Amino acid sequence: MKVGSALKWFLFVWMLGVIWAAFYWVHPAEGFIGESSRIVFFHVPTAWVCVLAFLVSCIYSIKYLMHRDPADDFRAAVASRLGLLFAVLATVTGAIFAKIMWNAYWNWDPRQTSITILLLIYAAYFALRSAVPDPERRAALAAVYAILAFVTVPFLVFVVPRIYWSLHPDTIINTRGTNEFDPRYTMVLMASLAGFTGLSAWIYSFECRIERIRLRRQEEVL
Amino acid sequence: MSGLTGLALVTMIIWVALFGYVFSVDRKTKGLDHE
Repeated sequence: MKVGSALKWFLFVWMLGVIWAAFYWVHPAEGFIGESSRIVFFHVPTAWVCVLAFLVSCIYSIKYLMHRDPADDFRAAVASRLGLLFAVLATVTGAIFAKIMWNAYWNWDPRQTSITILLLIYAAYFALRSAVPDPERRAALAAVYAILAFVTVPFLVFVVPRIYWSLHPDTIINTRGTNEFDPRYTMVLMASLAGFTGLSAWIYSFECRIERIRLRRQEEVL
Repeated sequence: MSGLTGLALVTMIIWVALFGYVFSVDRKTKGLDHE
């Protein structure tokens, strides 16, 4: 068995272990209704992958502006698409948690508002890409936009929700700079973060492959 | 079956289905890349 294939099967077993631990190894956290606290093992990693993907998009956008390599353009676009997908997943899992805890899917909490703005910013990235027919011009404009869009990410994800009062529970490292999570929670959360990062890297690699094949076929036609 | 077991089962089914889908797409695109 090749290393790549072994890693994929390792990820499969790893995530099965994470799911088992998330439901049976950790106890429900205090101060949460029913089993709602367990969603943290799936909500936080989706938000993490979203930020990571937007960072990758920003890096490849900078690379594109430096070298004008079309491969960097599609790598940035694929990363943004992945980030947008995981931002939607983070929003949905957050809304499910909000419904259980606060009896409403949407409360215009600072975190919910900031992720909505982030979703709109990155949705506009794809609107921009589809609006410019010339590939080189599209790539250059999209690269500049992706860099500017990423500037907002630290503010919207890390700063704004910590400035205003929020219904959102404390993050792993809270505003007092400490980790008050149960050690088992921290362990399963870290395992889940690693699993989600691996899964997103895998999806990213084959999405890039698809774009590379598409680009090669377009060049063959021309 | 308790509610927790049901949730765990649904999550596992989602993961198995997602893994199967990603695995199959990965294999297909690898085949196309070698053409």
